Amino acid sequence: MKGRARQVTESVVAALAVAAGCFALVENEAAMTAIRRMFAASASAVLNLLGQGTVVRGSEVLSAQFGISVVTACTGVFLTGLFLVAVSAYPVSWRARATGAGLGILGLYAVNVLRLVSLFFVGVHWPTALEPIHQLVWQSLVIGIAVAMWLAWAARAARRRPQRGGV
Amino acid sequence: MRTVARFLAAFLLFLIPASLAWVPLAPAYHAAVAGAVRPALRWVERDDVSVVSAQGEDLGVYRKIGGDRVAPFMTFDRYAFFALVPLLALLAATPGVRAAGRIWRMIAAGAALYLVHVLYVVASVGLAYAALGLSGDAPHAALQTAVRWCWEAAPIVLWLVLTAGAWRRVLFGRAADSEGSMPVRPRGCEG
Repeated sequence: MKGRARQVTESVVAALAVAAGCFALVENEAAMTAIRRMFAASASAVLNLLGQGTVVRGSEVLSAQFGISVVTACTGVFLTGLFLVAVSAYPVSWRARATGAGLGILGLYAVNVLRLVSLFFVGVHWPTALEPIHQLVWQSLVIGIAVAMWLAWAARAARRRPQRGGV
Repeated sequence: MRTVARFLAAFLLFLIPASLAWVPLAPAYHAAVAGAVRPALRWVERDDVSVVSAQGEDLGVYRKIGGDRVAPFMTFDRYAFFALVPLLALLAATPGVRAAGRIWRMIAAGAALYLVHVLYVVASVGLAYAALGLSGDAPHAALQTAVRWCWEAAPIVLWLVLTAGAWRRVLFGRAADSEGSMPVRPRGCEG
């Protein structure tokens, strides 16, 4: 019982600490500007690999045909924060939590860059569909992907968790 | 992993028709939100200064500016409350729940999210008034972030709370049972 109570306390404290950290990050304008620019640079790099000839200006990705502006909501920072809170609250080893957090940040970053790249192409080739795809399709997809990533990690981490005694 | 892949496939399968259905259904949902926001705003505001209107695809909040005149103050577009659709898709795709259990979870989650949406509109309007110096003291920016975070996190948190037991049984084979659950599979079948 003592072990269980300690585990719950540990999970709650870890989740609250991570939530507070994410909250502080979102409130830090300099950090959010850097994150927005990082996403813009990544999306532009991928688009240029695909021959789109884009340039980055601040947190905007621009080409002769179309441009996208990366705002805070576009960085997926809220969903990533929630993912990290869920990972930190899950009662497994700290190493497993660190692995989950790292994979989650990288995975959601990649998904978000893919989202920006796809929205750019939609904006160029199918501008009337941009708003529904931006707000309806991708909003749902990132939720589904984040949840699936967490479930996959949680199932794997739980299987590797050392079994405790009966009491 | 196969369970998670099946879950994701089912999520997408439900999501596509539900997203298409949302477009014509959104105005009715907006009207329902507006119906609860009106008395809530009147209760929260010291003076009766707001008019809430759900016409067409948007939910608009107007501020009375004297006489019968109003000025547009804030608009919530048809995507502001779309999270209801992914929430229902998550519940529809969750394995290990019987039909009746799934339906009551969908109803409970929908009602809870509706309440979150009402509170989100009321809080957003109240905070915007305060930020512009139209009522009370200017709120801390963190409060706006908190409201935004609650709005974004609500569907996932609701889903997690309502399906935690089902996932424990399906993924980890724990025999914690409740009404509406599916038979427990032996540990190691999924993977």
